Amino acid sequence: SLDALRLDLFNGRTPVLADDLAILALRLAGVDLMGEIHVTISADPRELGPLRRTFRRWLAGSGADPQQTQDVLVAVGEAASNSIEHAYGPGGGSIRIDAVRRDVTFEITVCDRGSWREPRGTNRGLGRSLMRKLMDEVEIVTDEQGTCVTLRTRLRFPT
Amino acid sequence: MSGEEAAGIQRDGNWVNAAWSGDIDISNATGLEQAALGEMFNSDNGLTIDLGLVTYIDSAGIRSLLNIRRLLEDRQQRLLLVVPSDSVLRKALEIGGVIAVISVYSSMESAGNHRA
Repeated sequence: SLDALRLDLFNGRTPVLADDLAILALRLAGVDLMGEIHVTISADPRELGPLRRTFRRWLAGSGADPQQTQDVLVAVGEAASNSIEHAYGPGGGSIRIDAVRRDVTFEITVCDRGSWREPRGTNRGLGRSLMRKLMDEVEIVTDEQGTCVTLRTRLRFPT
Repeated sequence: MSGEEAAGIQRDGNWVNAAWSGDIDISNATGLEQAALGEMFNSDNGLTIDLGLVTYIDSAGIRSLLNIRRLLEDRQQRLLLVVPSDSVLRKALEIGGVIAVISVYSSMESAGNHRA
C-alpha cells in the first residue's frame, strides 16, 4: 500500500507487521508520519481532552519543554473552545485543526465554519488574551466561510 | 465515582479543602466550581483549592476560580489556592489575574498556616 511504501522510504527498510501497527498507532494519535497534525473534531467540549492528548504527543516528540507544551495546549484549547462556544448553534458543527513545525516554529491553525459572535459576558475576552500572551503570533481571520485562528510560537529550547 | 470524590472535596472543621486534578476546561470547570461551592456552609470560614494535581487549566477554569472567589468574598469567606512554585499552570493563572486577587501558596501545609 501507499502507506507501507511511505514507511518503507521513511525507514529505509522493508515494512514488517510492527511498522504497520506503528502506522495505525500514529494514525490513532492524530499525528501522521510527517510529524504533523491534521484532524477534524466535533464542536463538542468532550473532544478537547482527546485533542490535548494528540498535541501532548506531538509536542513531546518535537522537543517542547513542559512550559511551552502547556502554553501551546492552552492557546489551542482557547481557540477550539471559542469555536465550540461561539461558532455554531445548538446543532453543532466541526472544527479543523492543523499543526506543523516549520524549522523551529510551531504553526497551528484552528478553523470553524460558523458565524462570528463577539465574546460576551464577564471575562469572555480572557481566552483571546491568553492566546496573545502565550504565543509569539496570533492571527484571527473571519469571513463568510468561518473563522480561522493561526497560532505561531518558536521552539524555546531547540534540541 | 461521586461528584464530590471527582472534585476531591474534604471537610476539615469549618474549612473545606478541594483537591482538583487532571485537565480543567469548558467540559468540567463549572461542575468543579459547583461541587466546591455546594459543600460550603454559611458558617464556614473558607475554602482551599489545591491545583497540585491539575495538568491543564485554561480560561474556563480561571473563570471558575474567579467566580468562586467573588461568591465567597460576598459572604466574607476566604479562598486560598495551592499551586506548586514550579507549576506550568502559573503563567496562565497570572495572565488571567488569578494570582493578583487570590492568595496562592506553594503547598497545602503553607496554605494551612494562613487560614486564620
